[in-house]
Amino acid sequence: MKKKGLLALAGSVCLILALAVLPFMAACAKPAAAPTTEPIKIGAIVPMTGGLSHYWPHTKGGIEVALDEVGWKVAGRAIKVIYEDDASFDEVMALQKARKLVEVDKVDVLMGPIASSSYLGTETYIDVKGIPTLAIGYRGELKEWEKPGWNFASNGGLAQITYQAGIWAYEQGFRTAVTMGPDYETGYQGCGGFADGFTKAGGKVVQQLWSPVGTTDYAPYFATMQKADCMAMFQYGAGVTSFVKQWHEFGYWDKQPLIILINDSLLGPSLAELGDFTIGLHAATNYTWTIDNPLNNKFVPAFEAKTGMKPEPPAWWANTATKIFLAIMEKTKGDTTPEVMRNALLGLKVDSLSGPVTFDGAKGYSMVNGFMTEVQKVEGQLAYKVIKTYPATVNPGYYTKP
Amino acid sequence: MEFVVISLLNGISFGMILFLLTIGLSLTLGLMGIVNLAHGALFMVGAYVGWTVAIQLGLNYWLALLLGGIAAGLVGLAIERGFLRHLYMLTNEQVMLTIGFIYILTNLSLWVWGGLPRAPFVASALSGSFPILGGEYPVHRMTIIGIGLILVIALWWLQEKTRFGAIVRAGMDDKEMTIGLGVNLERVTYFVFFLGAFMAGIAGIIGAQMLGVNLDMGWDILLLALIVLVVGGIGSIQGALLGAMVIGTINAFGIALFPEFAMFLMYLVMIVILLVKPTGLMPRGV
Repeated sequence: MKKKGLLALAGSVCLILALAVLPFMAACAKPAAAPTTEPIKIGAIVPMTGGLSHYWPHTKGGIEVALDEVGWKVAGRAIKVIYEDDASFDEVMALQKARKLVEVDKVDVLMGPIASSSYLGTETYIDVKGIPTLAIGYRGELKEWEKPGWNFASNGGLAQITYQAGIWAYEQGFRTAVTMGPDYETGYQGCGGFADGFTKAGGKVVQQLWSPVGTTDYAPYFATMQKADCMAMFQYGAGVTSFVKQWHEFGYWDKQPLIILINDSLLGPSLAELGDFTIGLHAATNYTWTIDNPLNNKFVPAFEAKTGMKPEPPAWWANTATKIFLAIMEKTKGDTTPEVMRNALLGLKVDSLSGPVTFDGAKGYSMVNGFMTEVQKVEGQLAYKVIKTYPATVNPGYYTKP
Repeated sequence: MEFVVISLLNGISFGMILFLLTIGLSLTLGLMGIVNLAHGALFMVGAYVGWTVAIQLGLNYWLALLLGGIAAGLVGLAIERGFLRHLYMLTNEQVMLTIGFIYILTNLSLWVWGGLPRAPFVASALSGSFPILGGEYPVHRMTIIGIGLILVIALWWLQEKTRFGAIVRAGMDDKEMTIGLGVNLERVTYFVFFLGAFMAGIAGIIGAQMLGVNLDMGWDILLLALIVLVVGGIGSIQGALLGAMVIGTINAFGIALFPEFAMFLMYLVMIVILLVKPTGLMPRGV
């Protein structure tokens, strides 16, 4: 009897457990949820006002031409882009806009910002929130990107390009150089890369000058400058056109050739304003609209049709970030789960307008091609023409103020 | 020797731009008690209008100088007549309002002229350089000094030797008494405000020869103008000139000799002046 009672009790417990577990089992047995057809949302933080506002038509055009090519759809899902302005260098505004995009608009991925200050304003928030973010523009602070977090350098690092400019300068016969750059982190990477490449090639950097951000009158620096075979200059914003003009006015143009370490602050229209004396000027870059390859030859007329202007480096930055996003989505089949997207990005290789952009799988930054260019008349206008290509290799290093 | 001469020329030419900008700020503060922080934005408006006339339309540089000055003067007058005249003696409100106008004018400029920084531009007659002590020096920088000196003399004459100047000085000293004597001081203040804004526009175009034209130039130069105002003293042409020369020269030599402390040196001078002579080196005497 006792045995029967125990059996009945055990049977009842099993029955209750079975009834309790049944709904869970049923739920588990349901077929997988159908893939969402909701649009994928991209939040782009870009400068629309302030010192870098002239990048705005290029970044917008770069993103939208890439999306036009795929009909604003990827992996069966529509794509929506929400643009926000960070006023160029305003880290507080950049953070506010990032929060708005993530928390109110519920974007799946962020793009941008461009300026280092804006990046530093959003960096921690993005890492805490775990939103995949594709930077627009080369980064100066690659050291922070050695281990991938949630920020990814879509367009490589500044020193990757300027290091090669240093090697190129030595190959031209220059043996001594002066560098001039802005007195902050990005300036140290830009000028440090050149100095490293030039020195390793056998040259000697005799002086490194640093100016405050926003400098537009360089004459006081010329008064204290040492003589050298060439001047390598990196600067952001309005100061570049002033520097080039003043370098010419003070009679250094022919005596001490100028090398612009990155050309995105001296765009084609600025060359036209400065005039024909800029013919022969050399600049390092990772994009110019004169690059001759099928992808770029298709892109340039499409960009012109959309914006009415020739694409400049910011167009390439934004276009490349968008292509990386599209490649991620193809790989994940439209899955926007942050971890899935990040895993898809690591090890990714994308064909950009200027050649391959590669993430090696272990780092948060990509490797990109670098170019040395010369200002020439192309199609009746002053433009940068590639004279040497440096294939994407390695990040040369990290530099501090000497 | 070469270093000293070139640095001195750099300092004086930059100082002249600061003088032309600060004099308007100084007069409006001295006569009307108005703190017009949008003065830097008027400098930018003048430069953009001058760029349009000289570069986009390809017209005469001197016409660009005149039209840029008039455009800045009219914008300044509109701000004064439309808004600031309701805020006399309300310093905090003036500061907030004029800071707002910096943003408004900057964004209007963005819509009209776009964000691309414009290259420095000079009159064709002033382009080129001349040899000096084994180097070269741009002609237009010497011209800036020349134009600045002519305007210093003209403004000094206007303020010290004309009936209009006497009314302005009387208005600064005792507004009620001046009005009591039958002077239409309001009309005088219109003109002084217009003149101050006009000078800011002129400074913008002359400054564009060295600095180019961009959307940040109003903010960048405003801080220096305020330092010049503190150092030189309020309401005085001589004070504005002395302050501008001191700051321009310290800037040039500071950058050349102690580049990392150049900006700090200017602030240091301002702090010392505020402690030792809070009214500035040459304030307008009563």
